[in-house]
Amino acid sequence: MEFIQSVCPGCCINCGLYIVRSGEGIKVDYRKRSPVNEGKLCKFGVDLARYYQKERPEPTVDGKEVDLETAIGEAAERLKMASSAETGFLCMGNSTNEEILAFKRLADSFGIENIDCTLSKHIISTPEDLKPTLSVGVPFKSIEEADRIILISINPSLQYPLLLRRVIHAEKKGAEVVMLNPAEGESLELEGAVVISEITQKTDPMLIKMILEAGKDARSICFMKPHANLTGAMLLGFYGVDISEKVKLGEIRSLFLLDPVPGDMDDLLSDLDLLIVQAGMKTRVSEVADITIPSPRFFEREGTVVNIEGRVLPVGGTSRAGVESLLKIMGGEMDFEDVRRGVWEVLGVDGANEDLIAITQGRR
Amino acid sequence: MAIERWEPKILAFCCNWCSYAGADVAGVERRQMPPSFRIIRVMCSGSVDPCWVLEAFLEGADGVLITGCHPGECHYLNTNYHTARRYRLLRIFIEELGLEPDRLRLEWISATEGIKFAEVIRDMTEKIRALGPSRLGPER
Amino acid sequence: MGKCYLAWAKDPEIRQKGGSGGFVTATLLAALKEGLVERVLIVRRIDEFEGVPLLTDDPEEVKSCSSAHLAAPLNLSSYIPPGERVAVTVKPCDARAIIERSKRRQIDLEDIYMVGLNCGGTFMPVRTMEAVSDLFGLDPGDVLGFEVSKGKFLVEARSGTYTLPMVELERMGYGRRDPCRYCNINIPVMADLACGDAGVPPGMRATFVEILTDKGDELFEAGIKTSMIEFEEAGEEEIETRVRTDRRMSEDADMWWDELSSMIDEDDHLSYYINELGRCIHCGSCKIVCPVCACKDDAKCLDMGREGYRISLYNLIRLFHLMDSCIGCGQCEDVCPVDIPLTMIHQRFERRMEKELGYRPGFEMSKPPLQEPEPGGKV
Repeated sequence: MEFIQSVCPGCCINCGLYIVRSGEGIKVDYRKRSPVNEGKLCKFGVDLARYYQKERPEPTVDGKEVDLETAIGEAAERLKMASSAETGFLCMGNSTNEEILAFKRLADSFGIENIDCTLSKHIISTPEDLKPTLSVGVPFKSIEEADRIILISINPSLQYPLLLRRVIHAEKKGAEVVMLNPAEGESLELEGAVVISEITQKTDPMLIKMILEAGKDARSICFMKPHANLTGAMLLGFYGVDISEKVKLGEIRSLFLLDPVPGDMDDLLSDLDLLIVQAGMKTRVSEVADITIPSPRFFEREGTVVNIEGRVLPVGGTSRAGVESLLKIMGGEMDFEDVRRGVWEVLGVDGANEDLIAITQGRR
Repeated sequence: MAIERWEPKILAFCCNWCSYAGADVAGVERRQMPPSFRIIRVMCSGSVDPCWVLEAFLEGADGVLITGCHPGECHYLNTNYHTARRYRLLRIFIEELGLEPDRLRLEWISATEGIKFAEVIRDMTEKIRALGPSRLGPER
Repeated sequence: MGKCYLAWAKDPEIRQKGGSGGFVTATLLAALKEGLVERVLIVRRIDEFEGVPLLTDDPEEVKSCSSAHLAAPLNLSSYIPPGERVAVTVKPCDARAIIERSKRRQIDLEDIYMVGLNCGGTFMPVRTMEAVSDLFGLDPGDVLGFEVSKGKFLVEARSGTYTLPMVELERMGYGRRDPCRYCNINIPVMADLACGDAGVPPGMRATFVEILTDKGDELFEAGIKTSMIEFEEAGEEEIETRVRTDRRMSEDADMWWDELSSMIDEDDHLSYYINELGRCIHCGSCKIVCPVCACKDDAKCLDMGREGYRISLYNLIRLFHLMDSCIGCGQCEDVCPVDIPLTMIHQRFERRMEKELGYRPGFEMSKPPLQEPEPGGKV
């Protein structure tokens, strides 16, 4: 029975939990010490062991199994040959900060500007001073202490039960809780409220604009996100262009995907000239890739994520393989420690600390 | 518009070897009974899973009746004694839940006791009519 | 009452380091050494606010886990490997869970040596960290230890010792978990040994030990045989003190029960249950952590996901099934993502059953009422 302190990759809350390894395989157990969720989990977290039991991909090149070094070498060769203007790097926010920063450095080393964490279109259309509001949210304690909570186009009981809990606490303390699904052009009254909404690839950009404009006098705004570390990806600057759109338009011919989840452009991926996938889990996308580079399962990775509250949380594993593969494609001048220091520097923190709200929106 | 009068709905689980026949006898003998009950035939009152009783209430039953063979006469040794125990626990359960315990009833009725069957139905219907609709049923 | 002793570890290091004279640590080591058990199941301390189950046969690991962990609200019964002889440190709720699991053939009681620990309640880690920072202005990282002693909450920190009466602490919403507050079983009389502070003369580094079963005798004998423990017989005054302490704690628990359960309107239970259980998101956690649930993946309650009922069948079936087995350990309430007071609710049903049938789950191996026929088929 080995208890590994880990975090749930199910959404941006990153609930604390244990992965328990024993002779019978892996199980999830409740980690009541986690300041994020006090041990409580939603259905996804409860079923996480099943998710982790999914098959891992083999290293492949053009559908043939190869050893990892060959796959890495081939990825480097083909990226060199691809036109950087027509190459995109897409991180879906299911990776550690360290992997994302290594991925970014890799893109930089090839002079690739087409980088995206699926939310670029929302970020680039947002004025500079409001951008921080899109990334990190608010401490859950401050939700519990709110007088007025406005939930806009989000149903936490379905999507984010561990957020719902905080809203219920606030309500019990006397807070007014309102749920809104505003139509375009509708005026929103958000003064003094804690505003909670969601930002995904599919969110209507109008809605985000409306919330940000009306929310100037809100107490705080929190955009929940559907993947584990989109907050970290945004803070590390992993955005630039809407890659999904560019793939659809045929403007991107080569694509490197980091930890993909099934999405709406999957059907287009097989038409690309080059598709490289690094993933800890076999998916339809990793199957059709020209080059597949396996990485450890999420809980096995050494590294951190930034949760929606702004805590820098260790993922709990010890494997650096995901980061190291990316660094090897780059040529191997950097090592894991360099990347880790880079992460601390960009985030402006001294290290991981689950008990500290290290990153705040700043302007509030 | 006619005002719809509420009538109690009672679900009766009747043992195949005794009270199911008893209900039949009551019908054949043309005993007066309100049309408030529906019967589910079971092979033994002991096969009535407490979960079914709870589900019946959730589905909108205002009362649940379980009928079985008299003590000592069970077709399957002593299974009706188990029914009695489950019934006792179910009564405690629905009472704590906040449902009137009279909504649940267990009666031993043999195949010849048509009179008793009709009496139980009449009496239970009256009692539940006095209690009103169950609050555990679906929202009306 | 079984034979009562004041006992301690012979090894001065264990005696000094262990809570209450290291008797429990020494006994576990002796049980391993004598081959009574293959492994021991204990709580490994990660820090003052986190502990995880540890199954080990390594004496050094056992030594490192000495002293009770108040902020690791675990139920160890769920971590007992079936088919292996183990010694396990048990709070009353662990012991009761072991007995109920054994009734349901999840484990074999014969294989298990229960070293009981008197328990005045456990604490939720995060809430306790909040308490030390809100009330004493401490960084939880600077806390070296905390304990409850003579009705006081004592925190040992780098900067000094801080204290507050438990009553005050709990009135402010900190303190023990709710299920612990109203649990009136402080001495694990259903275990093989019951070990605790109560009755130990002030200043003496020793444990008050009551031997409750033959297996308890074996454990105590193993300690003597391996020269791991030293002891003297408990005097009348000490025994009396322990009885008094136990009685006071039980009364305190009953007061909490009355207070916490008074939130329910006696004339309208149903609205309360519909309202509280209506928040359920059916994550299944309460069932997964429930130490007395023996249905596992084949559970009937899991099959009943129909929507639109006033209370879901999942909840109703679990309530009914646990009516004669809920031991009030609080695990379900701890993990509920929408904070339904599940233990309180299950306990309300269980206590009503207890009153009417005179059966208490988790005390001895008698058959649960639901598995028994009603004598005479009396209705």
